[in-house]
Amino acid sequence: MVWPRRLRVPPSLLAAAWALPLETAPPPRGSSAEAARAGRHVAAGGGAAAGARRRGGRRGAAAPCRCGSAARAAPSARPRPRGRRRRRRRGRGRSGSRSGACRCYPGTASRPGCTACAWWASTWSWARPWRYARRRRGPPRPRNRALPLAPALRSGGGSAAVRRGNVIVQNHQVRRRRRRGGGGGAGARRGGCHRGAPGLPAPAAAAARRSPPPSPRRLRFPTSSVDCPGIWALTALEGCSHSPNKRSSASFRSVIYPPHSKLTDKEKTNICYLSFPDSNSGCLGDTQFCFRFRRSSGRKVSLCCFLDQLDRDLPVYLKKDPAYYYGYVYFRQVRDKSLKRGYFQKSLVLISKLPYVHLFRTVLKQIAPEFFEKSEAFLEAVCSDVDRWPPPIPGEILHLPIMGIIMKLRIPTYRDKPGTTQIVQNMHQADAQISMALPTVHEVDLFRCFCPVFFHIQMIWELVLLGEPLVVMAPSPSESSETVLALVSCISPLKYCSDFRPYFTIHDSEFKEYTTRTQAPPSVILGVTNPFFAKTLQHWPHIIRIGDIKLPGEVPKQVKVKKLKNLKTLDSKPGVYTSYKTYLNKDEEIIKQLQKGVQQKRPTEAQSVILRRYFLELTESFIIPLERYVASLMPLQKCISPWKSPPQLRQFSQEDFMKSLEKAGPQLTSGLKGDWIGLYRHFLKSPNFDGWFRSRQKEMTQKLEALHLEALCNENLVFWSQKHTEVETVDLVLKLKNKLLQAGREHLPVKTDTLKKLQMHIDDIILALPDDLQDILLKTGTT
Amino acid sequence: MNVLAPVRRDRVVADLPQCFRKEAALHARPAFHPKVASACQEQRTGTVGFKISKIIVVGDLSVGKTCLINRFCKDTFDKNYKATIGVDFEMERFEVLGVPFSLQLWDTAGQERFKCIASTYYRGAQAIVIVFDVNDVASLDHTRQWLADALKENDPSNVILFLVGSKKDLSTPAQYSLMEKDALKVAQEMQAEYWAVSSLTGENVRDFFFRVAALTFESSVLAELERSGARKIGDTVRISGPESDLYLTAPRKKPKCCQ
Repeated sequence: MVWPRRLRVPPSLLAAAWALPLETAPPPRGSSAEAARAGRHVAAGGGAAAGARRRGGRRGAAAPCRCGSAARAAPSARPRPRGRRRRRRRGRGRSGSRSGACRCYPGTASRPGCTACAWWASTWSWARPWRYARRRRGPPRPRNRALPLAPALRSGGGSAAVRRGNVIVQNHQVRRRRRRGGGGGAGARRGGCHRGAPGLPAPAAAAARRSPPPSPRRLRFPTSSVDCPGIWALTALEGCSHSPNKRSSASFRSVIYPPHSKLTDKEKTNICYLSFPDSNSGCLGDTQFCFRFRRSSGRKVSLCCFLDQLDRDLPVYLKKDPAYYYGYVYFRQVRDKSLKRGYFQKSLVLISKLPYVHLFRTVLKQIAPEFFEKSEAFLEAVCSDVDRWPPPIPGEILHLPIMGIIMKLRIPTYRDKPGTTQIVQNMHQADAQISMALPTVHEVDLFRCFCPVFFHIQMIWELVLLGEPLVVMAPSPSESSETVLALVSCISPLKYCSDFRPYFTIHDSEFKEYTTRTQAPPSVILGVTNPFFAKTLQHWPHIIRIGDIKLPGEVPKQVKVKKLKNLKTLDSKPGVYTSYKTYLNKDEEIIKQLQKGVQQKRPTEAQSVILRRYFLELTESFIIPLERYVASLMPLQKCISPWKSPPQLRQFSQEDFMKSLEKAGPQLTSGLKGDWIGLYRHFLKSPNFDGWFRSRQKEMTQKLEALHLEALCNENLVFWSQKHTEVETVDLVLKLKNKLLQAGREHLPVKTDTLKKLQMHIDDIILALPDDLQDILLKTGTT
Repeated sequence: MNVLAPVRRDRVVADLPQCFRKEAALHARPAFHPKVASACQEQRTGTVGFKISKIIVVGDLSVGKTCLINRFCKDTFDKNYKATIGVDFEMERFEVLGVPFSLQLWDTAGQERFKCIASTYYRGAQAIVIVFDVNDVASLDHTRQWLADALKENDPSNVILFLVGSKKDLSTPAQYSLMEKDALKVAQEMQAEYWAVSSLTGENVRDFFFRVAALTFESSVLAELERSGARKIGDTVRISGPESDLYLTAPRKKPKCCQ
């Protein structure tokens, strides 16, 4: 397979680093066009085709793949082939011709693999064609209600165990009943009901919204970037020497993109559920939210060395977490009488490793509305746009073309002074039509999110800092996700180290793990919308309940912390439900300042900046004593001897640390009084401390290694080797080689000439040895 | 915070590049508009220096839009046909009369299936380059449709039009002169400037893009000057009005009291 000239990597990999869009939709049942399209093969989880094949697939997408055409001819008569077999067949059909208009994308089914973020779109529906096909003989079941929004449960290639219609239906009902724990059964069987449907208790009705057995009708991963290099991922580098910023592309080519891997069935199931509102959904109109889900284990570790390098320069709270992906959703639900369902309901989803909430939100806002109205070619075009994006290098101003507009933005680096945002200069107004500047890539509107609970921000800060289990109950996914992100970001520049789910549903694969009552609640932050959680998570110690986020101007009056036992399943009032007692005394000043801002109609952006600065100062006051103490664990410079292994860090001792607080505690930088010691004690047990300490420890160990290397370089090693036996010399050479390797692998913070010098030393020593040994040593790599 | 790379030396435009055919040119002045030249000399160009102009390139399938741009931006030519998906995007930085100036080149797809989304890319363009193949009469006929589509998203009075015949190397001189007659007629009709280029040999490509850069620069400086001029007029009107007299007297009184 020959790659297009400017590509050297399978194109699907190119798409990787930025995002994969994913369209999910429950299309109207029965519409012939839809049926035909559904017939076109689209299932999830195609075979593990190499990128090469994939390319063939895309271009060759020209011809509908075999299963597609067959299905189109007789969508009803044909039972769905079982996952495996079907996949294989598809694989064969992959190498299509290159002509014609691309309609179906055979090889692309497994594209999402570029899980780092290739684009993939898919449409699911719980209206399963095969099921209806079986029923065709009888009159179709009337279903006039529009709403039930049941995202696909199983991706197309999903488990083969539930294939036949009856079985599935039963299965679903059984499962539903079990999940819902009683109440929902009746409603569930009825198909879609609006919330508060007559005769149903509200929670049941809400749960019932999910009811129609979810199953994806089609799940298609298009294509994107086949002939043009990849999604922000890093396209421009990827080969196009014509990238706007003219970077030499060659050096990054093969490393930028993670080798593509597929989304597993489990991941797909999760995405399916997470890309639609969970329960109620008065979500009429357009809703944007984001979610985060766990990668399936057992995936190959991607080789994204280049991304790792980028990662190094990111501030700690933006570093990507290899175990999780983010999904960014644009969901549209509008009345549409022309559709059988009566409603238009579709989501466009981007999956990315990158936590750049604001950026992807903006992107979706740009593309989704037009996408919903236009053809699939639109998505293809968007993908090719994103393919052309330069790599997300921290600290640089990036120009990202998207749908005829250039987005200008800057990804922060760890060197930025915390609390300052380097705002990308706004363009001249006349340019507004052709470019826009994003002030931030990741920040959410803190004040708007905390508005409903703003009397308790300090308590919330403590809860997040200590990694307490926390659940946010909100009326819609957009509010829950924003609030959770705001919570997590309120302890920046510290990183929130446990799991957090901006939007969590009862169908999540971690549902059991997180809601079990047999163990203490896990240290996670969940954002939920389904009222069912009020029951499931009753035993959780801290619950934040949020009503509709209102416009600023209506701020709640002084509100007391509510008692947990007052939390009712339904219509509990917004507020913080907990029995937690704060360690620190309340800071009235910030509250007053914010309240004043509200009265003076200060814009929310300004309020957010105030709030963010407040959190930043608080967090820094808290962390500085720890930083100071940990720095004192570093051994002295004189302990570093080239002839000994690098010295160890001293142990972290809680007693010593507490003693150090007396003299240099947070009282130096913060006026807040309270039980700081207690807060520290609690914090030292929390996952956030663990994560923070580990990263510090790693940094310091690396620093020590680097210092040790430099010390080695400054020794006269050849002289030393002459005075020692051959065995010792060989040992030294091997050790030195190992050091060099390690320095390269771990990106030790050493000067480049140090490494060169060390290499020279090694060569010199080897040259001084007898010839036979020289040969062996030159050949031997290192272990 | 300007982190753009410095302008390449071969992208410096010191004089106005000349038109290709006098019969179909936007204007045949030998030099930049005197106002523009003086404004640049006195550095009164306002924000033009930071400004980016959007150029869209449209035309039939496989007439050589991408090749044209690649020849200019990367000085390469690829004989293999590779359809553009949606749009290709290039940024070229120029220095015109000492003022940095950027061109955003949006190379759109000619394929029918992308037509429905093309409008997204058209908006906000300052110049429209319509490309046809000098060996294909149909592609010349279609230019009218392309223009109509592109103008739907733009203000027709504010865009500069170019009609470009490509693949000149493939046609014999006799064929070409016939085609040119038709093309000139079309160009005059749509008030576009006509150019004939060859991306394979590179003939006229550079001159053409320099002309595009120079003319868009000229028009944006003129627009800028007009805007700032208009603002001044507005100011004077307010000051000379009867109300502003009141304002003028009021502050005068105060200092008297204070003294």
